[in-house]
Order: sequence, then C-alpha cells, then structure tokens
Amino acid sequence: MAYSADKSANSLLLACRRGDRRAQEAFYRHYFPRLLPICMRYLRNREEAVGVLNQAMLRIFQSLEDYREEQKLDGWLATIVRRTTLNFIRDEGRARRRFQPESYDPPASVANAAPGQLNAEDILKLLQALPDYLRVVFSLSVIDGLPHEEIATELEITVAASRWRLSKARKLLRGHYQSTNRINESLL
Amino acid sequence: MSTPDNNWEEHWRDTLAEHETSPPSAMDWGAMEELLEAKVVPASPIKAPASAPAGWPLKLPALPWPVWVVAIASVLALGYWLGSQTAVGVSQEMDAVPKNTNLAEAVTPPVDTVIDTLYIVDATGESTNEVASIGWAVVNKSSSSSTQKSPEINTSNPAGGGPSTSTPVHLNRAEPKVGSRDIAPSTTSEPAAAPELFDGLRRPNTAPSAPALSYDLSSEPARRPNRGGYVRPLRTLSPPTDRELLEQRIDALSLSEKLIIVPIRYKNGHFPAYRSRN
Repeated sequence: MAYSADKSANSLLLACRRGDRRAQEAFYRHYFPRLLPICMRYLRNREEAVGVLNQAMLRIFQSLEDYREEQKLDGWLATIVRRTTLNFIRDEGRARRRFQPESYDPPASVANAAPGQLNAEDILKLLQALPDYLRVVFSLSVIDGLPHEEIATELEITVAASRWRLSKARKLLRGHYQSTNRINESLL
Repeated sequence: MSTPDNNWEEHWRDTLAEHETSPPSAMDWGAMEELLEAKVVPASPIKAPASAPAGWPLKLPALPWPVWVVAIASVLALGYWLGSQTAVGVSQEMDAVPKNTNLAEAVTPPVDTVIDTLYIVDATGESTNEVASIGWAVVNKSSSSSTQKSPEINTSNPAGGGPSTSTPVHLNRAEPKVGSRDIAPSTTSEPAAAPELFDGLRRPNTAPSAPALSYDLSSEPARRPNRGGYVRPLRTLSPPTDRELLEQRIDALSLSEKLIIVPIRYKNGHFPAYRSRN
C-alpha cells in the first residue's frame, strides 16, 4: 500500500501507530521540510540539524499514541522538535563547549540586501554564523517569541543573561548590516 | 508599535515560519530507518501476554499482593543480614593486627616445650604420679610444710611485664634442687597428703593407676636422727621407661583441672608484633 502526500493526516497517523514502516517513511518525507528549519535555527549546520530531527522523529513515532485529534498536529510536532533540539543543546558536555564566547564571522555569501529583505536561506546562514549561546537565545526570543523567563528556564540561565544575549545578538547582526551598507554606499 | 528593529525581526519570523527545506534525501531516510531499527520501534504493537507461555516450566502462584510484599521483605531482610555479617567479618579482618613474621623470627626465637617433669613419691614409696612442668604444677601444702621449703615460682609474671589479667599463682616445685627424675620419697612418717592443685581443689588421695616407680625399699638406709645439718639421702631411682613417662604425662593431664597454656611465642610478656608496634 503506497502512501501519498495527499492522504489525510489521520490515516497516515493511524498507519504509523500500527508501526507500518512505509507509512512512517511517508510521514517522515512529508514533514521533514517543515520541521528541519526548526532545528536549523538553533544548530550550526544541516548535518547536525538532520541528526537531531531524526531523534525528534523517533520520539514522535513513539509518542503517537499520546497525540489527540483535537490538537494541531503541526504545533505538536514543532513542540517536540524544538524540545528535542534544546535537549540536545542543553546536554552538559556540549553546553560547556558550545556556550563559550565565540567570534562572529558572518557568511560572505549572504545577499547584499537590507535585513528586512533577506530570504530564508540567508537568514539561516546569518543565524548559524552567530555564536551558539547567542543564536539560541535570539531564535527562541525573536523567531519563536518566547519571553525571557521561559528562555531562562529552558536554557537554565538567568533572565538577565537571556536579555544580555539577545541584545548582543542584535548588536552583532545590526553591525554586520551597517558595515554592509557602508560598503554599498562607497561602491555607489 | 513597530520599530526599525522590529520590522526586520518580524520579517525574519514570517519568512522562517513559511520556510520549507528541500525534501529529505535517501541518506536522510536511511539514517532514520537505522534509528528506527536500532530503537526497535514496534512494527506492530507488542501486547503483553495474558498468560505465561506454554513452555514456561515455572508458574508463579496467584497470591494476593500482601503475601508478595511479605515474601519480598523477608528476602530483603535476609539479604541485609547476610550482608551485615559479611561486613563484620571483613571489618574484623581489616582490624586484625598484621603479623610481623620477620621480627618474630629475628627477635624471639621459638620457645621449645620444656619438659621439666617432677615425680613426687610419698613415704610408702608409692608415686602420687604427679607431674609438674613449667606450665603446670602441683601445690602440695602439706608436703611442703613437712619438707624443706621450696622456692616459689611465680608464673604470673614469667619474665616481667606479663599480662596482669590473671591472679598471681605461686607454684611450688617439690624438689627444685634435684634432678627432675631423681626425687627421693619423703622419709617422714606423715601420711602422704592428697596433693592439692594450685587452684585449691584437692585431688583424691587415690593415686591414678599409673605404674609405680620401681625402687627397692629394703635398700633404704637406716634412718639417722635429724641433728642440725642432716641431709636426707637421695635415692636413685631407676629411670622410667618412655612408655611410663608418656602414661604418666597423659594421666596428669587428664586429672588436671586447670592448665596454664603459654603461647609458644610468648616471651617477656609481649607478643613480638605488639612489642614492635609499641
């Protein structure tokens, strides 16, 4: 039995609950493009993000019994993926290595445009160029809209540290574009 | 209220919310499939068996839960007790004083068993079959009063500095000045009193059935009056045979009620290991 993307989500979920491997593959391929950007907001590169997304998919397949029909599936899936990603980042060994101050080296291949005119690929490139301890706070605050209290709880830091990291990330991104604009003006 | 900062941030949020990456590659799904196989996500839900398999030889009885609680608690208590016993044994081994064998061999030579056997013979020539040695001796009050006073051997402190746990015991050798096997019988007319052990218990007067020492009464010289420096003549006894010695010693040990057992490495009141530590 072949599963196509146009099959209803409910039938796909029912088949995945039964453990149908082909249904799981269809589910994976259907939701992969939507869920991978969530991981890529927080992680350095695509390979790392795919690894974490697979872990999140595994948890999704194991937790399908707990999913209720009245919940919005996309939101439920995004929540699992984000929590899995944060757990990965919060891992003690990785956290000690990651949350060290790093220099900001913005990618040179970003389109020379205003911040409000960047496409998603360039936005992700800029985010991934940020130091880890800044990128996570910026993504949680700006992209996901979480308040600083929740960010502090998720990352096990203080609220003041969360505010400082967000300010630092904004300053780095803004400084990058100010220098870019100056270069553009000089070229014009 | 939107600021220039908020404008680009909102743009980023909206852009990323609508963003979709490219579909997964075969490698991505392969990695996911390996993860599913490794984690054994059930291809079909595994139902717990309602009953034990047919081939299962042991079927646990369907007992009420309090019985199981009591049984498990009993097993845990037994395990705890066994563990505590083992811990006590281990701690005792750890507390044991290590034996310094080198020091013992170098400083304290091993004490050999001293056979200093004394034979006490009464006036009639019958042996009371008493055997005294360094570690065990007989106190004979009555005979000591009638005979020459013997030097006292105080064994409570054999060489000075001995343990003070036992009360001092004074042991009287019957005839310390003579050879151990050449003790003459008492020539006084007093009946031989029952020898008394040093612990105050009186031994029955009947001598144990040990072989009497062979000596000839007719060969006893005429008794001379005791005038001043009279010295009782000694009688030379025929030495007992080895078998007699062994039997006498066994009898003495069987009749004794208290033995002073001196450790073979006991010297100067200290064990070598303790002395080395102190």
